[in-house]
Amino acid sequence: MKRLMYFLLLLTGSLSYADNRLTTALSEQGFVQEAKSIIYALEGELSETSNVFRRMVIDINGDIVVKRVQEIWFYPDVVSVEDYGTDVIYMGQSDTSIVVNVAASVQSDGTVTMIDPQTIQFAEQDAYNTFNDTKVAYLPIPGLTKGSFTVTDYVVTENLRLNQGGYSDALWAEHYFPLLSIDLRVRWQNIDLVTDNSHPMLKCDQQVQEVHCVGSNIPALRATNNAFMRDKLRGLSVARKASWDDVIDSMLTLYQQAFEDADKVDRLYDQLSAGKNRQEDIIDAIFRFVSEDIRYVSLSTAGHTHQPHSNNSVIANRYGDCKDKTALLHALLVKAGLNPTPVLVTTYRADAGRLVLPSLGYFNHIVLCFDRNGQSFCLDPTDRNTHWTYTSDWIQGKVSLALNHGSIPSVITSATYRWQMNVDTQITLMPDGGSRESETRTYFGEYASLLRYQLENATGDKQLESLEKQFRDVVADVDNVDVKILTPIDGDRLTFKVSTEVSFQPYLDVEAPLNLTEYEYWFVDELSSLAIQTATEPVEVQGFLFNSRKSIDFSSHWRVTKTTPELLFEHRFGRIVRESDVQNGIMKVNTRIEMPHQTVAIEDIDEFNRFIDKVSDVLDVRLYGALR
Amino acid sequence: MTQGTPFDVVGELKLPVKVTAPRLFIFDFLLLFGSFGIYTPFWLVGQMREIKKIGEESFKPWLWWFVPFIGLTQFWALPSLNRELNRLERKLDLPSWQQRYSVWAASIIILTFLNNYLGRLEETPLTIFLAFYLIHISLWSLLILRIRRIKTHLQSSQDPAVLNKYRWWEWPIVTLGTLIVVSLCLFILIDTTQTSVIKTWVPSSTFVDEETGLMFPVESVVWTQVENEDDSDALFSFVGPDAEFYAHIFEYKERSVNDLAKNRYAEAVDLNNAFDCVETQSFIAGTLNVRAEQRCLFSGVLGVDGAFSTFLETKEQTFELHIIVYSTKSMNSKLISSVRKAAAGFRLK
Repeated sequence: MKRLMYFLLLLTGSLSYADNRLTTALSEQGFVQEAKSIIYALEGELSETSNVFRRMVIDINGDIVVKRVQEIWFYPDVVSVEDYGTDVIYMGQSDTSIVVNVAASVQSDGTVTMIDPQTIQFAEQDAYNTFNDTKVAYLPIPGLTKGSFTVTDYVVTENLRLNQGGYSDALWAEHYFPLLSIDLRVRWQNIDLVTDNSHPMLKCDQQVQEVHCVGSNIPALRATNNAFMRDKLRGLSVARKASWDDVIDSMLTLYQQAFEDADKVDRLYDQLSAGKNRQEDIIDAIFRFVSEDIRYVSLSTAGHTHQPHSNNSVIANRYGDCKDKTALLHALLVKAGLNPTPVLVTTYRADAGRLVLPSLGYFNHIVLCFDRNGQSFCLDPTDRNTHWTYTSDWIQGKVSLALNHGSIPSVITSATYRWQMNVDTQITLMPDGGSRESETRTYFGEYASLLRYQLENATGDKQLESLEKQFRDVVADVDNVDVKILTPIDGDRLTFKVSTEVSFQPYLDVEAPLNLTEYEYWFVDELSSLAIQTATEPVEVQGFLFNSRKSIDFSSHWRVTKTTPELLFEHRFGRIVRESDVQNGIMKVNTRIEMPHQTVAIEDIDEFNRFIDKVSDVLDVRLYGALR
Repeated sequence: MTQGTPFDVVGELKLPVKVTAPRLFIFDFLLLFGSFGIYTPFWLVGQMREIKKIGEESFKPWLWWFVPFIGLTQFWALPSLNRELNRLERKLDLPSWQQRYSVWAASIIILTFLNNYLGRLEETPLTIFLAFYLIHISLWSLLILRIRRIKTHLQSSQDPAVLNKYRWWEWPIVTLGTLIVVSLCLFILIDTTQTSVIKTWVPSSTFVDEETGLMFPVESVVWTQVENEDDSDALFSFVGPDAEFYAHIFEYKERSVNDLAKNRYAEAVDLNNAFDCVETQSFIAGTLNVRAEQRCLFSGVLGVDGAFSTFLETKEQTFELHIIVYSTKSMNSKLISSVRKAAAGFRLK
């Protein structure tokens, strides 16, 4: 999730001030006049940000799609004006054209302020957009004040000939804000389309080659932090008529193109597998080459929205996007004796049931999966930090479609324990009442990957500074922390190890019995992040597996009179086991927390939070000793 | 005449002999009483030494040290003693005890065996031992009377004895010992009579309170449920055999199990800083409520000290079964086992 957020940050991209696909034909007649009559009819009854009116008319004739969008929005205050006062138009393939008829603000007294075309700016939608080259036009609506309206009217014309994904569209009938009136109409000829209405307040009239839907007073969608909006938004879906097998066939046809020009693969394989006898070593070498030595470059331009570039070109260029890397990885793994399957992924969806109409349009990513020795593996060659035996965390739990006949959308299995960590701590209570603490943290799999990802762009000193800060934030705000990275950032990817050494000034009364509490800082820190604040629907919780081994030597002044409580907490949410023992005057405390990947039902959220609180409470390690 | 048998005291009586003068009966009685009966074997050895002098016999008086406590020795020793005393009494023309001695000896033997048997039963109340102790001392006192009669007669017919009647170290036993024993007896009697028994929970039963649903198994020894006198906060109070443990069930509001356990640990080490303690915690099945069990034990030469606490958390409150043990029994005795099982089995229905 953290990684996905990083990618979302890339949304902004670089801005430019011209794109010949967008033109303006601004006029205060037509829709502006209609909008005014709608606004006057409201008679000031609005108090929150609202989509007052939304009309979409789509006419499809063979490969030509003409979509007209007319909208009126109300902004009640300066905050909403600041946040939403710039309208956005998404522009598809390179031969898409857009004509803006209206982009204006309308005051309640009828004053209209039209946009200056020179102020329109353009940007890439997503540097990681793998299956399209959509750009975004930003329209800063002028004259917008609190209590005023924006009115937009534009027409998008798209030629499907260059769209390898086929036609599909989702016309949402809901927002984060109330939608007072919606009118959707789709008409088609020389193409076979299917439609699906998933919103109960949208009433559709299906006719021959036309569907017309209307709705009113549709309430705002109740947002949940951890949910994907595309799993939640409902409305009218439109797609070219096809089965999932048809979709798979069309993608496979495009995907196969990568192997037409692939004679360099053999030599590359020989280089990568040289000196390696075990298949797992060869897989590791291949995966590391494709994920590390083929740099990621988004290349979903026309003709390659879904079709990967040839293996040879990717090898020669040493760059590619996800489908290019996946195709090359595929070719190399076949050489290694595996039978991998390319798998489409949508990183914005976790609910396979919401893919109501078979279409490639849902997917934005592709990875490679295979079975080996009875185990399934999914490799994402755009991830250069995760070991091939683990599944990249950002595709776990996401909807996928294996490119095998008979497949239907399903969810990539989430790891039972995504976040795995061992903490080994040696604490020595010193004769002067101070203490010395050595700690080694070992992160595994996806967690090791996350740490590497967070540190890979920093220099050596910055990496250590970052880890020192992490220690100070979580464990103790002290200056004399000595941090070491025990495994190289570009190491074997399986684990990531960090050690810390710290000394504490005297704080214990060495003349009195010992009564001291040590904390499982790292565990409590992680657990606190699991607490569910608010939710209107079931919450998915990623699995945790933590082991702590503490060795506490307080033999200098005290003898152990009571070992720390032994714990055996078993609950459907997780399991905590602690054993303690005294050997040669040194107390050994082993604690294990297992919280498997799970979905917490709404009615269980309070209990889940209580579980987190309880576990956090009991994790303290209590030290009792009598003076020697 | 039987030569070589340790307890045979046959032979010719030769007078005069120098023995201690007859002492006040009450002095010898208090000597046995005030020493908890511990002085009885020493007293008997002393008497036998004098009987040996009087009778000029060759038996070994020190062997009589074992007679008061080892029942089997009494089968040989008491008849032998009777024969010797009879002989002395005949020489001195004193009337014999005859059948009375047989009754006395039989009583001593039965009492000794019974005492040893009951001593092995953990549930035998201390008051029973107290009664046995008093009867035991009283019976031996009868022997004091018989021997004293012989000595008195000897003294009146011969020169007065020259040996010191009372040894200096016997006085503290008589005075201080008597005071302590009387106080202890009074304490036990008062404690017994003042403790108001509600119910007796016999082994293999289960204490259950229908109102709270609290329960724990009673194993091995009797648990006596009593009115709560000393700890008014307790919901229920129990006392074990010989008051070797006390148990209370408490209810707490708005206190975490960890806090309570920490406090109990602090109290335990105040009682005995040699305690070794362990604590386990778990969820009560199917809930997020914590069950914690803390055991502190110290095993010494005088027995076992223990402090047991089992906490049961519910949504509204926390219950605790708290048991304090001062036992003369060993760590693996039935009593300690009973306490352990109760603490481990304390739960809500």
